[in-house]
Amino acid sequence: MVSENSNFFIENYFGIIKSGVICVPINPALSVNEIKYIIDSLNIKLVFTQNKFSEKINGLVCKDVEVYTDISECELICVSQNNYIKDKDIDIQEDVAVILFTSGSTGNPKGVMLTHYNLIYNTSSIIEYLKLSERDRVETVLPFYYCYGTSILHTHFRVGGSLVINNKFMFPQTVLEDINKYKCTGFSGVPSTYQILLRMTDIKNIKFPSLRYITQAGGKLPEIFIKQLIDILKGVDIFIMYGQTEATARLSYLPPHLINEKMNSIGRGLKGTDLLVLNNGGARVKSGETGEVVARGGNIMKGYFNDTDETDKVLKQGYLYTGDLAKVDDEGYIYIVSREKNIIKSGGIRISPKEIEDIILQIPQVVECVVIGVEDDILGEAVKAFVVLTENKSFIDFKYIIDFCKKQLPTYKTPRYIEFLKALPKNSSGKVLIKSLSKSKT
Amino acid sequence: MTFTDYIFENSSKLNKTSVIFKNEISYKEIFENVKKKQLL
Repeated sequence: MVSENSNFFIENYFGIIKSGVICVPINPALSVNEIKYIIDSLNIKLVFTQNKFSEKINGLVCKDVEVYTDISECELICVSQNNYIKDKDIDIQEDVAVILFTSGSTGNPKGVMLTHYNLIYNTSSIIEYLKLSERDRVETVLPFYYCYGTSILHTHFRVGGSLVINNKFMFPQTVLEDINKYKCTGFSGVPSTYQILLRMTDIKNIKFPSLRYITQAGGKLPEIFIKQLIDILKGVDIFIMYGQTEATARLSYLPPHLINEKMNSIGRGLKGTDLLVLNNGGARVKSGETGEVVARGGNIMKGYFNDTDETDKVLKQGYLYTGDLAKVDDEGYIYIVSREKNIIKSGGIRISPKEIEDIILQIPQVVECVVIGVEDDILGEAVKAFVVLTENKSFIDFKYIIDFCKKQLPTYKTPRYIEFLKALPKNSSGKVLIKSLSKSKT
Repeated sequence: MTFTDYIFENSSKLNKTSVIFKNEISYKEIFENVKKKQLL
């Protein structure tokens, strides 16, 4: 399925799964080589795509692959090879319904296999804690080929709610306008969604009378933005959540009434999901100690498609090892510190980039900021910050940011290098592509 | 129950808007189209 969010996606996505065939949603913005890799490695025989992408798809598939578009007249599609599973024969615990691709750390993307049971289990959990019903109407800007986006599609169809599709986040003001135009009760976004809405729109001056809740996942939203949302969206439940594609979508949430008391926490595991933080010895961390987040439950994937080595690295003794480092407080609430691979090792000290990003983002003219480690002959790694400014930025320069950081951070955490960008490189889900940021010392 | 049976379990009871994109489409209409789009 190579499609943007649309009725075409929804009908064919569910139609494929209902047929007992595995659906593989693919981001249309991927390169020709990336899409070809996915189609070839899964031996895909049918491609559904919007007409606007058909030239791209037809140019990369073999002759034995059938391509259907949103202007194809054929409604009933015949699979030439009788290789699908009949509905009644589906084993929901074992049979895969969807394969979602997630970027791998070592090059090729990895196909996360999700069974019918995984999808049902996680959908039910999310519906329960968001208290979704047929009265709910969510505006979605997140793509359906991304697990967070698919979870919105699944939950709202299950309860008989409705979806307002907005594919124009490049015009963020229209996103806010649509919430009121269509009387939406819910809205979901990743950190950059909210950072852009808070610093590049008129959100502070708009009331949202129909809005019941918002959700945030896909990375840690800096505290300053959480506080602004609390301040602006009075009476609206704000759900801070955590998850991974490998866990279907969702692993935890922080109940809205605890958002001030447990600021920056991702909450605790969903009902029925064990979410633990373990130290290197495999024991639960003590309060304040850092360890890796691991999870067990009906939402954990079957494995990566055709990749036993990578599967064995993350699925061990029934637990998913997430690669995220976190701390736990006395009441069991979890606080993400960083991705293990993003920790900066400088002069023998481990530095969480998030701590530095949170400081720089306190400058009102900064829309987005990402901090990484760059090679350094003496320290091993030195701190480099990438900063995106609002248009009203006249007095913000390297010295201003460094001086601002020095007031709140020890010297070794203060950035050595700063690069100003017009926008951070992101994938279409809004996640920052850290690997594509320049490691040059400029 | 398969995933899509679970998703559309209540579809017969609902006759309201399910998706607003370029136009409005009902829950029932989407489900009918899903059934039509099954691979035969």
